[in-house]
Amino acid sequence: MATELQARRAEEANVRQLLEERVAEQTADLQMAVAGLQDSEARRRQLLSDISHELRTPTTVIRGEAEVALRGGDRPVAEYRDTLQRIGEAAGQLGTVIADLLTVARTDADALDVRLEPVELLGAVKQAIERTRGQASLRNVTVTFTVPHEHMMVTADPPRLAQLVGLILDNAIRYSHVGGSVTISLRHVGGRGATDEPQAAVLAIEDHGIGIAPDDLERVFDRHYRSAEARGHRPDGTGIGLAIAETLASRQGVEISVESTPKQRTVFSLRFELLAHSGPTVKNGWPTP
Amino acid sequence: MNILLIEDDARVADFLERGLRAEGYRVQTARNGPDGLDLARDFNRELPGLGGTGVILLDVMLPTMSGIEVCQILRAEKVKLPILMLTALGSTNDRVAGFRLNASR
Repeated sequence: MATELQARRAEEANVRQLLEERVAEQTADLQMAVAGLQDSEARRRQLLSDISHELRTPTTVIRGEAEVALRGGDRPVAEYRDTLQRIGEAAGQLGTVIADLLTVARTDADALDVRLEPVELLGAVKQAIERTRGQASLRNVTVTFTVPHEHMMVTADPPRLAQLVGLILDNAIRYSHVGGSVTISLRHVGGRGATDEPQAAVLAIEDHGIGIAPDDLERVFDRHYRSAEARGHRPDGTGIGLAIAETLASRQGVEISVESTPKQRTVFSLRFELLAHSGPTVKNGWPTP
Repeated sequence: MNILLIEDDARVADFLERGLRAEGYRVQTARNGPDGLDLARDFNRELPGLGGTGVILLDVMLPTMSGIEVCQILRAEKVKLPILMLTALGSTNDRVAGFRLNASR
């Protein structure tokens, strides 16, 4: 009888211990879930605040420029032209932010429309440089593009390609120091000499700005991630640009990579499979336009 | 009236400067927090000699040192000039942060 009682007590103790362990485990899981939700909520709030700023700044410029132009007496036509130019640039910036936000929304809804076709890469790069000219001028950043001697055809969606190159270039200008420089190069690699490396076009965009710390490098394409240095250098921005760039690159079959030396330089590279090129003949079987 | 404008965005600073000058205000501009802080101290010291009133227009989102920090330092140094916070953020939290530091608006 006493032995049976002891056995039952031991069993009860075991059950109780198991129960306590399970409760402790579930409490820990719950705490982790709550912490995750809090973190996600904090990031959501930060994103909304950043988006709000990105949309309001060009809107403020458009409204402010118009109000200043409309106050007082008539002015020379040239002044109105300058005002319209600035309004046009701010509206362009607003359009870019809206296009980026739409890309994010469409990606999330799995509805990002990408139509691939043969595209001449040089033209897309020049278009992106043109689109970021205003921003480069505001920060007094010199953008230098060493134009290659050959035309390179790749497969891409023309507006998405321009958006992709524009995002990387915008990022390079944004994180350059005022008065700094950004260099762009477009190279034809592979298919020459003994190596059988596939022919590719590599677009490299290099800035000499704040750089990216090794720990941050891994997260640079994460959506909403912005390092403390990035936020300190440029409090504006949404942290979605590079995430969009990565999505656009992968949807167009483009390899995107980054290397950086903190406080010195950062190079983003886009590697496109080459469809055709107009340079010197390099290997049998490659079509030329 | 003398105005010290502390705003890093060249486009915003540009139309504010032109608009305020056109209205007859004297405007000085700083493009970042530390420069703005130095100018604000000079501004506070020299204002009686300038023979007028003064106000600081301070952007909240400045690189290196935020507008909130600039405001905090100026108030800690007993600079009593009115400070109008400029913000494209517009959130309640930003407004509360500004008012807590005795910004005027």
